[in-house]
Amino acid sequence: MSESVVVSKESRECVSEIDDVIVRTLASLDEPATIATLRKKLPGPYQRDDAELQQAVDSLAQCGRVHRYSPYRVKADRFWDRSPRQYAESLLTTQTVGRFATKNELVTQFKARLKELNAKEIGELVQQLARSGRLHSGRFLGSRSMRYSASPVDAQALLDNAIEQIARRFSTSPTEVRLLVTPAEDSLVRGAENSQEALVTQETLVMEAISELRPGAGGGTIIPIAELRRYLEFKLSGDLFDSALRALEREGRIDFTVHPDRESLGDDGRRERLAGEGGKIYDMLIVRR
Amino acid sequence: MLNSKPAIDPSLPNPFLGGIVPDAWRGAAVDVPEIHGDVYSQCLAAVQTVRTEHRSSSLLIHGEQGSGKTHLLARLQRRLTDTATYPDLEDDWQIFVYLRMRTSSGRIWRKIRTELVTDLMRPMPDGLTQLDHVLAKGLATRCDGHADLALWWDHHRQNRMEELIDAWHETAMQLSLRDDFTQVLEWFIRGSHRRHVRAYLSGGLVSEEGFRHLFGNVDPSHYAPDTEDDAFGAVKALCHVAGPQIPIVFCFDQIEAIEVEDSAHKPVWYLARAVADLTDEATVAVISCVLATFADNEIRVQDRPRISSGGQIALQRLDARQMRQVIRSRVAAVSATATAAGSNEQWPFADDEAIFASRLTPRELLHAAATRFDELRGQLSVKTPFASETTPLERTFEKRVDEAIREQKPEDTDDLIASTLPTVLTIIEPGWTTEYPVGAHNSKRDIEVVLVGPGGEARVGVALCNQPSMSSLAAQLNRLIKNRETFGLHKLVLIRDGRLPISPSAVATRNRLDQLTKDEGVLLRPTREVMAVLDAIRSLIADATCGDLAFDGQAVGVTTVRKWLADHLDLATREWVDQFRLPPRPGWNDDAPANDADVDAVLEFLLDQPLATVNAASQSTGISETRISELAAVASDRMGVISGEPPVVFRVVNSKSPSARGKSAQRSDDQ
Repeated sequence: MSESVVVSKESRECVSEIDDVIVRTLASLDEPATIATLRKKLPGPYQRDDAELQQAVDSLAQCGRVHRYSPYRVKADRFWDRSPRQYAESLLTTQTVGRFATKNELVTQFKARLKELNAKEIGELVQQLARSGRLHSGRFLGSRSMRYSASPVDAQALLDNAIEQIARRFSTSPTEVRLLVTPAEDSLVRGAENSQEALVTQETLVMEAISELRPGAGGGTIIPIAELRRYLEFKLSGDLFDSALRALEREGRIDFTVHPDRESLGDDGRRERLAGEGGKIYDMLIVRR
Repeated sequence: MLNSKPAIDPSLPNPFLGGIVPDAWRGAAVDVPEIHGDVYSQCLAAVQTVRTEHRSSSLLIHGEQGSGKTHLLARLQRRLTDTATYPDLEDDWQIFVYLRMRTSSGRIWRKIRTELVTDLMRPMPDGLTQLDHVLAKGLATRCDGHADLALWWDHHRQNRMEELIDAWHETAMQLSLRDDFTQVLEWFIRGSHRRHVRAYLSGGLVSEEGFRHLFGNVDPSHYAPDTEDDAFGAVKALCHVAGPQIPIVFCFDQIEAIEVEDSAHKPVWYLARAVADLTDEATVAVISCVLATFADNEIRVQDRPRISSGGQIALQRLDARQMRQVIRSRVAAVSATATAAGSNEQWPFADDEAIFASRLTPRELLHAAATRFDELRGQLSVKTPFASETTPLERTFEKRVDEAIREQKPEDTDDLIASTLPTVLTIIEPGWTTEYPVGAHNSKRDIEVVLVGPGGEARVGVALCNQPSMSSLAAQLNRLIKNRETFGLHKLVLIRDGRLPISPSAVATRNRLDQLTKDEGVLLRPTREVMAVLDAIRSLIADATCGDLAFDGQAVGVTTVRKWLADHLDLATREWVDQFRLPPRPGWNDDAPANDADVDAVLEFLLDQPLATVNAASQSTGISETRISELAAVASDRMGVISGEPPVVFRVVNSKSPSARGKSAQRSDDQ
């Protein structure tokens, strides 16, 4: 009787060991795998036959240590150590780099691999990822469709898309269109460099001062103009400070906010802020995102 | 070749008119989701944090006037309260609460409590209130409910009520919910006494009859302290009922409108302290919208991380692309202009139009677009000269008085007077200041505020006496008699809304009133018109303070509004305020209370039967029929008499009285 107990223990340890190896191997994979694929990835001593592996994986799936996935491309179930939702997150955040797709396009693209989730769940996940910042979202010029991507929907993305559209419309290549754009960009930059050169130092000073006053704060930082003026009093006074702020505003790097009650301000209060058009008094500045 | 033909068909309506979103529950019909889309996402993320991580999250949003703060909250409201698709019990759900902070800093929790309950009781598109959703979702988990929330709730309330009530009491016990709320919410689940339930939960006016319905024969004074502490406790209790599974989303707007009790602090200081307490004691989402005009050091150090635990972000001005989107959406929203535009996405403005030259707030853009649209259709806008700014102010003020006459309720009287009286007093006579007595002698805040005259020449104590229960009122008056000396007052002003009668049978109350008003004391019974004027003053000042008052696209500052009020307040309101700052006029005490006592007697008779013959009223009150007709003329805001056979007397509830119209005319004449 005692012998049988010993045998039983060894058997359990053995099973436990291969279970752990299977789980570790699945964890090292980028996506769910069939039994056949899993066997190839297992270390040599554990490459048992498919039936034995299938039995082991089935029991792991039953106790929740691995997740079972519906067949994809081959007629065999797949297994992974992560949940369908985690798989969906992985697909959406790794397979959309440099691609800008609508929610429906993403659902269509991934639904075959994500049969465990319905279309609504995938769509909601796309939106959740966008809200949490793990996916970027935005619209292309002239389009009403919201697009999602692991890459930022930034000026470059909009420009690339616009170039492709122009190329399609005129039956030419994007490279040809890009050649038309580049000289203009160059000349703009050169012109800007020339005309702004005198202000660059002052603008840099202002932006550095904002960083020093609000360490770690980036776009969206708010700062009272009076506080900034006082901070830079000995480096950038009077008109130079005003000019630098106005230049930054023209460049789209900051916005001003209008004081809601200019009548309440005395002369000193007005002077330490910034005069705007039409008698407006600018009160604070916001660093644009 | 010059062409004088307008560029736009002059018959087209201007699609750019109307810019200010009044509140988050009445959002603009046109919305461009991409604008402030990043901030909107942060708001949703805060709600999700509460739900998934079971911790509070608070987002601080800065936005100058016209930047779209309220519009953003309206968008959030539509998203969070969307029941058009009939949610299932399993669906994520949340409660949206919108608070325009027109109150005083000493009443913030009472304001939060009132607005929380108001919005909990607000019906949603699926026909249920938000409180129904909270309770249905909570109880469904105990009753193994699933599928359509509204159907399940209706079915159980019709067929399995006792099962629901058992589950509710189990829930309440697990939450350690206070007994009175457990009882009151049971009535809510049963669908009974909902008017009284609402009044009780919100700390409002519950009549003695209401108390009997809710609690049986229990002394009402035991249950209605209506203090800041009690209000905080009530808010916490209701938040616990919802729990993190149904996040309550508190959206604070017009924070700058809080009347501060201590001028060393700004409104945001008080709000940040309240938000810190709220997020510490309950698991909720908070979104606070402020003007971009306060510095970081204007909040307590310990409150800053709490009010911005979910982030701190500013609303940006619109760039050219976003401005195009706004214009396109406005054009598309009006069928005539949408047809005129056709497929031309640029219509009606070319890219080189001046309005696209600089970044604008949404409000600035809409004003510029409306003006330019008028120019293009050959209707040049008439610019209002600065000097005549009073005209739109006057119109706005009159409109708000009219609205307040219809909507202002006695429940709002305490808050309205506390937050407005000090302001109105300083508008009429600058130099008055306020003190808020603290200590054992004022632990129940029997004296709301002490008005201190210029140079400390006068100390006028103001007591708010608007309890519906005579025993509560008598208790307050008793404490005032005992402690009056301690306050060191030159004069005591007791205020009881004219629409709240003092029962002729309340002998103790009347005796104490007589005692308190004998020497340098008065009882004021403000009429509906006076309260409406105060309400209009408060809303005008609040909007101006928060940058939400604009004419011709130009914001009107609070200094301008105060100056205008100083010059244009009507005689009746000035006389009412004079009763605080001047000694009582000879004979006042003799005349007014006599009228008030008789009016109260008739009103009390009319409580049970809003319409009765004058003869019946006379027999019941002992006041002659002729006298009742005279009283109807004196107190036309509260009662009226219709001549006929027989003549009838009725209680005025919510309509503009003839005297109000008379006073409006008088205000116009004064100007």
